[in-house]
Amino acid sequence: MSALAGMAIFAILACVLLAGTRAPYLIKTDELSLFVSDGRYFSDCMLVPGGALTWCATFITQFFHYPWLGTAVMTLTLVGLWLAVYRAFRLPARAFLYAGVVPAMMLAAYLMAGYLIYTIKTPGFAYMGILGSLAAAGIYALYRLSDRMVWRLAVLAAAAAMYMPLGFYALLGMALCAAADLRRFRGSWPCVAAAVVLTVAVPRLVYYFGDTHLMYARMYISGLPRFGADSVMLWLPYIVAFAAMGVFALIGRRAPAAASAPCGLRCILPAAAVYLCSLAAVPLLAPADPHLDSLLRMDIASEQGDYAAALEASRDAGPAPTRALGLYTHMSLFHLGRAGDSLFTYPMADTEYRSPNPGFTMRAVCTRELLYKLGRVNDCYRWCMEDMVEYGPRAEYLKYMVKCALVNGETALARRYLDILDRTLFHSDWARRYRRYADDPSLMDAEPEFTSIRPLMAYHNTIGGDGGGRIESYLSAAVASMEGGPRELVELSLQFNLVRKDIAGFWPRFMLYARTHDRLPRHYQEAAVLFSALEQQVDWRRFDIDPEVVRSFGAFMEMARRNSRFGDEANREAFKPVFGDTYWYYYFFIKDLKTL
Amino acid sequence: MNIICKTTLTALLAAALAACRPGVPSDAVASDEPPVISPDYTGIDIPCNIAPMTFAIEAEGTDYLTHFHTAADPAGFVATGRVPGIDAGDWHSLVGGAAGDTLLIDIYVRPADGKPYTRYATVRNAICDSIDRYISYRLIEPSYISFETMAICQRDLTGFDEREIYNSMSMSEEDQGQCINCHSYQDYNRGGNMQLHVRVGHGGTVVACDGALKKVNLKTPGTISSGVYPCWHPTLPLIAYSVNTTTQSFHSRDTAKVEVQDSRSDLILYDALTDVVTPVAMERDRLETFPYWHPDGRSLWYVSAEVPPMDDEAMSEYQNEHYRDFRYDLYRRSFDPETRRFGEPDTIFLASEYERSVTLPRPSPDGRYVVFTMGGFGTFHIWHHDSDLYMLDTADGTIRPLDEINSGDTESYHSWSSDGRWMIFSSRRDDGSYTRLYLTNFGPDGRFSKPFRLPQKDPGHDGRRLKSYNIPEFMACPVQLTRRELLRVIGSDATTATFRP
Repeated sequence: MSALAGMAIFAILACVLLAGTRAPYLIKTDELSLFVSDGRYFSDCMLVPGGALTWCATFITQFFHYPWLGTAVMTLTLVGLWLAVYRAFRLPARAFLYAGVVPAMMLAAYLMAGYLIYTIKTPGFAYMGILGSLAAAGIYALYRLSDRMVWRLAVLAAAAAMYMPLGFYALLGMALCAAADLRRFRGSWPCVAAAVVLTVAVPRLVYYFGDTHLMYARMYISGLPRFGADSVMLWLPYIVAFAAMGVFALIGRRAPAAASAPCGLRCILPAAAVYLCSLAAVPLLAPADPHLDSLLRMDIASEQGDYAAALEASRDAGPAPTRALGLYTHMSLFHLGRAGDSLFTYPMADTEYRSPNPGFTMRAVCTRELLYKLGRVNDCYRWCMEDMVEYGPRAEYLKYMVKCALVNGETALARRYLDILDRTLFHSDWARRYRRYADDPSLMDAEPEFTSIRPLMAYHNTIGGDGGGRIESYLSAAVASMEGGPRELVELSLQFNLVRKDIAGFWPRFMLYARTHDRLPRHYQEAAVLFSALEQQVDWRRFDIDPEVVRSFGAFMEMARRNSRFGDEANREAFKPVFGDTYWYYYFFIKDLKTL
Repeated sequence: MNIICKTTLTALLAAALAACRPGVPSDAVASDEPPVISPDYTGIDIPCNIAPMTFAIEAEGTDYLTHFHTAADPAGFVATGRVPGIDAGDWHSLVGGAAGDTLLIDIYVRPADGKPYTRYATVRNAICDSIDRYISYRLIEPSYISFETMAICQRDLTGFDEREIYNSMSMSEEDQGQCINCHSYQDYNRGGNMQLHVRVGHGGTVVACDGALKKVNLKTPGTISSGVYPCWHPTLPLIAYSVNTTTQSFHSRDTAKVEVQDSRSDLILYDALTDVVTPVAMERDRLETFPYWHPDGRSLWYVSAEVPPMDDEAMSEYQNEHYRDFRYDLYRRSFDPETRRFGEPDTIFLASEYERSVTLPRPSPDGRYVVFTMGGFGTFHIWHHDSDLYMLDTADGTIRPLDEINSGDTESYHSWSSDGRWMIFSSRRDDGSYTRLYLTNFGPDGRFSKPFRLPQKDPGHDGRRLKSYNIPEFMACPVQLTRRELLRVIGSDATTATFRP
């Protein structure tokens, strides 16, 4: 009864931590994966040891497309892993809760990746450990089915043969078998020796003589995650899970369990303690990250053109957002036509990303949506291709490549990517929707997604570098330097000059804007009054400036005079309640934002 | 008795199987319309030893039958399905010995249940002489800067077997991940002499020559880079290389997307037996590249562009502003195999005078024709949509665009078969981005036949493959080097070549 309760509590915790609190994370996990139902995908997977696991893992990952469905599948798989570990290692009933360590660690391993889900080079990462552990437990269970030497050697041989489909987890299975036999080494030395020899030799044989994409450095770990970041913590759940399985192999019974004798508190308490620790470890190892959550919500909402929802997510990010959130906020406001009035009412900060690789986060996470929605379509396509080369094909890349190709008029290229998305379980609807534009590009003229981007692409072709992948500074410089063009492009360029505090870049764009618009948004007025006062080159009275803005600027300057004896830090706090939503506050007090 | 029983049973089984094979419908309604099939394998010349040419029938219907036959074998065979399931044995029996005949393909589609089949106009494909059995190419994404998994593969053209010669993930990853490129063979790999480059991790040029396998560092104090674009001498253990300082830029708006440019490039000659490098062309005010030996081994074709001398930084800015002004002309230098000395450059075609730029000259095996790639500017035409193939007839000096094989999009790298009857070339005609391989027959009239895409077992294979086919080369014999041999040599220290001015 307590066992069932323990499992139920774990299942509830998993549901809460998955769809309950991190639905965008699950959706993004699916977007950053790709399962294609054709033979080519299967054969590509099978080129690398662990390929069958990859194939299965990417298949199941698709269900995260619907977070509650994905959560149900993952929870069931984790519960299945729990039961499999319990049964395979023939743990006594009183040790049932110990078996929960393995699924708990696998859940933690998935959740603690955080921003790294963008850069992990392991397709189906979320399920690889779960399925691999199931496979290793399965090998062990088979091995323990009979004590006959021939049987055990045959199972070891079969496990070795499973190196290509299971990768590291076939080796783990053999190691567990060897661990089990260590307890009775005297009679089992041929099996232990066989397990050791096969574990060492098979990967080398496959590497040198197989038709494989196995890398030398990953000979013994193919199938484990390639995080692309140095962090021991990321490996902790795996180490604990595999160590637990090793301990189970050493202490597990030799024969199937008979009815357990009643067990007192003496044996229940340690199991309960380990169980509770492993449950607690999940949220401790993978605490919620509001910035990541907001960013993913913004990304998903923005991709769907729901910029109001994106801004709502931006508000939830708190008073010190990351630069990625800042850029998404700007982009959303721009597409809602509200950036001129509201951009500087949102908090601006450069809080570091909670990631082992913070410097790369902006590039990995924001590149596609930002560049695409701000008219840098070739750059967006380029980074999709770069990332596809680096991390393999993913639904998200293919979708942006379709969009870029459509906007560029490359309908045949769009169809290539659509043909692949067509063969997926849950992205085929998306593909059908966008195929209409490939079949009849004139339909794009009535689609706000495309009509909002096209004016931003009205610039002359140039060739140049890539800014070294520093997306914000590259994007900012590129857009700020735009001269002329459609009204939308002029306004966007004007805004980026404001963000860059570039007075020389501001004036020509502002004058052009003022000539072509009846109303001047508030931040533009604030900037005009400020720059006019600072440089006294252009008189703000030439423009239709709201007297309230002029009055407010007077108050700002008066307060600045009064507070001139205080330092920047004190003034930042003093000015914030009154002027925190003005361009003046941004200009004087938001400094040295780290742009990457 | 036993033998009689077995024979009878076998005969009965064969008869039963034959009876199960689909026949041609007798009540089909004939249509004058040609069938639409993908890839377009209609009205083409095919080699008699080519793999089954699988295609998909575009017409909607409920049942599909395809009858493959020839004049010599009117019964031929019938395959069913929208993608006709062609048995390789049937195919080779029908086509293998039928050079000079015509492959006739009758496609029957039943538009709806209960309705008679529609028989489309017969597809007629000329069956020609055989083609070199093997090709090799590199599989790589049409990528920008990043590289991860790429492979140099060889394909048996009589079937669908594609084998990796070497893949870039074998030895190192991340910052030390390998870029592999520029596979090149002497005399269609008949003697097993070949080379390929490995960049970054365990970098060097792998050279297999006269049974020996080694890794060479071709960067010498006298050269601006290690060897880049190679060409083996037809008979001697010599490889002509360009050495290049290459940069990459990105188009902000143009769908060409990538611009690859050389800021410096020269030509060198490498002796594979002595590891000695000697200069061929090293003019500071010229960019010489893409060397290719004439089949007699007595001259070297290459292209060269004029460039204003300036330092690297100034050049970088100049290239960004003037990338459309770099245009390459076609040259040839005589070569004395005895003294190993080159003559003065012989100007063959000043493409720049026509505001065009020539790359990749490839003389035909008989030496009469030279096919080259020409676009509006620059050196890396695979990214130029206006790039086409042209042919120089050395007999009369005329140059013509190969309109019969060019498309509205990029045509670039090309390779003649060893008998000069076939050419394989890379084209981005399908979608403007992913390079696919096309084969064409070269007739005695000096014209090419309608090109057809490299057959694949699944006709949708190339559509979904997210890699480009890069540098297709014909081979008479397959590469015999094993993965282990290549791993061993690539993992070893490189021999540094010696520069002799």
